[in-house]
Amino acid sequence: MTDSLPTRSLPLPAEAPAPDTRVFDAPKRDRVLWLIGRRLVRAILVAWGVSLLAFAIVRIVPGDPVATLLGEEATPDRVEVLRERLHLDGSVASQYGSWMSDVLRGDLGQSLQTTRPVLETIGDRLPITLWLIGLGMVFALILAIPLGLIGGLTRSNWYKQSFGLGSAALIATPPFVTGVLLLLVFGVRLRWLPVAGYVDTFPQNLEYLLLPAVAVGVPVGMIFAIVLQESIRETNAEEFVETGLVWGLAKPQFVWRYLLRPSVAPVIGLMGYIVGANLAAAVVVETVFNLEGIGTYLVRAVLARDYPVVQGTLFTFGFIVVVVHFLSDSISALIDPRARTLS
Amino acid sequence: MLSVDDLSIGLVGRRGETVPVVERARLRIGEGETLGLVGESGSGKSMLCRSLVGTLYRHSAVVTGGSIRFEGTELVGASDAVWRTVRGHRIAYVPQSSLAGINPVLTVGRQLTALVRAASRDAGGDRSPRARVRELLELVEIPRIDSVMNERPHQLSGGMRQRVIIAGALARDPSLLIADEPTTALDVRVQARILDLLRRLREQLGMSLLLVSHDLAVVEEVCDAIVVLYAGAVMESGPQALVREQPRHPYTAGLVAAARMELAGGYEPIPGEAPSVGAWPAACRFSPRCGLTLRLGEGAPHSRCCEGGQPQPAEVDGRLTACLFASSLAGEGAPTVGAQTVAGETP
Repeated sequence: MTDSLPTRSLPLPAEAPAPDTRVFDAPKRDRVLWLIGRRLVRAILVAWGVSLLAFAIVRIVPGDPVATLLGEEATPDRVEVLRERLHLDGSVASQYGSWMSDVLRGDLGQSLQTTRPVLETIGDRLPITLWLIGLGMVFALILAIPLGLIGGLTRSNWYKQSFGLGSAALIATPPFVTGVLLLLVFGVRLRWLPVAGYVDTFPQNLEYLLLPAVAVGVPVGMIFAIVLQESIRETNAEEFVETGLVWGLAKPQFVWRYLLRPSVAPVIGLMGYIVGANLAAAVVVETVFNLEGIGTYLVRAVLARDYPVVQGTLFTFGFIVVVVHFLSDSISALIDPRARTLS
Repeated sequence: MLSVDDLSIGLVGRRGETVPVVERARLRIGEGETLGLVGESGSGKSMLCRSLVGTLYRHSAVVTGGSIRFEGTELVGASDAVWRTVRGHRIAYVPQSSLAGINPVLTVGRQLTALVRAASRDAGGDRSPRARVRELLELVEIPRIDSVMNERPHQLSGGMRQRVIIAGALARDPSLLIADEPTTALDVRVQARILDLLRRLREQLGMSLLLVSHDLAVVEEVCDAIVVLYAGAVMESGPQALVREQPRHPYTAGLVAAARMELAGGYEPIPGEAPSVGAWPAACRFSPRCGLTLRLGEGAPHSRCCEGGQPQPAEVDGRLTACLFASSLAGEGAPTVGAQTVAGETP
């Protein structure tokens, strides 16, 4: 794998060792690649675990999909036929095996209600959910960076107290409450933004996504702000910040390179975890705002015992979390060399 | 070029009250001169340095009185705009710890390039930043410059890191370099090389140097003049050789004797411990540990040492000393520690 990748290291003659100024000897590019590779393996294992869970949950939940579909007075024959058609006959292990082999071929099955392939519907609806989560993250960061900087650098007790109270209140408020409040104020009272619906094209869709994204992003932003301000406080106490200050760098450069960049690793690491919570929030917020994302798809499927859809969406959610987690881990390792030693 | 007079620094407490860490300090540095600032940890050396680069606020401290005049500019109470033209430009600063003193997330090359770019923009120069960074790294005698530039601080040894930090401090051709215990975190062999480097740079670049150390031997090697700080107050200051060979303060005498013992492989510290900040004696800071006061008061500390405030330095034998009985130390041969200093002598 390493051979196929371009490396910048020059082929030095082995018998001419350079004078020793290093403490660590591992070539840093390879070290990073190795770490990322290890995380990739872990991500694949976790994705497999997620598939097991998604499969199991549907089977643990009470209620027989076949009975639900055919109604109370179905003949045993018809039940048997449908059971076979849905691959619900054989043992649980063989059911999982056939589902997994379909998943690996990119087939998540068909909806029991509409017979439309699950993957196709997810493909249609996923962009809305991703937009919602992505925009929510952007909001969270827009809130967290200034709040984190102020909180990390201020000595004002008054500020610390009021931020502590405010952030606790905002984190504790569930997104559907925030969502409904935002709808009432900006949609119904002020009529600045639409109450529901969606348009598929890029700049226009922001109008519909703004309020839901704020609902998703605000609590996350507060969590980021708390983590970031703690991290900045620690960074600011380091001697190198004083060195940078005395070097007299331009303010934006100083703030980014000497305060934010050494402090963002915990926030990026946290993002991987937060995406899961964000997806959960999206399910609720999509319902409040009537957005046709995978959240509403999942909710409807659960209510209808449409198990291929539930299974497929849960797996997709899990898969997204795993991918984002892997990315955030890898980015932390690239942005802050100190994160490389932590596994 | 730098004159500090009656400078007092206080730590700001929770309720806005201040606890003094430096009181009425006085020091002078001339053009191209090297001044050694000696004192135990907690004596206020680092705070004094930070007051000279305007970063006291980062340590919850403020200047509570006195004046710092540097190249004709008053720095006490100076505006941010003034500080921006002084800090890093005219007065550079090398921090204590070589590991924590340098940004861990960026390569050496990127840090220095950013700095050099900022410097050349400020100076309106048009030199290529990369060439200037190379020049700086050559100046501090870094081998294999190309590979060092692509490395991050944790990949370098302590001595290399300290050299990089010094290179950064030199980026804007400062006229005064403050080195706060630049060799404390390094092993002895590397210490000597960093000191050699500082000495050479001072001569080559014509800078003045303020070298801070708790180690008299370090200061001895490099400095023209010396200031001895104890519990926030200047005990003695004057030409280095004079102060070292004929100390006129019992504390200096104790330090010199301890350093000599150490050189001979022994260990003979001044008895007692330095008082911590906020618990300073009301009068002469050194009186509780001073053998001379005991001798003068025949068993109990001498009353004159324990009344009134910390004595202000006065001129005795070509240097300033804060000892009221400095002349009793005159004419002695090899000074020894504490009580033995005046044993058998009549004041």
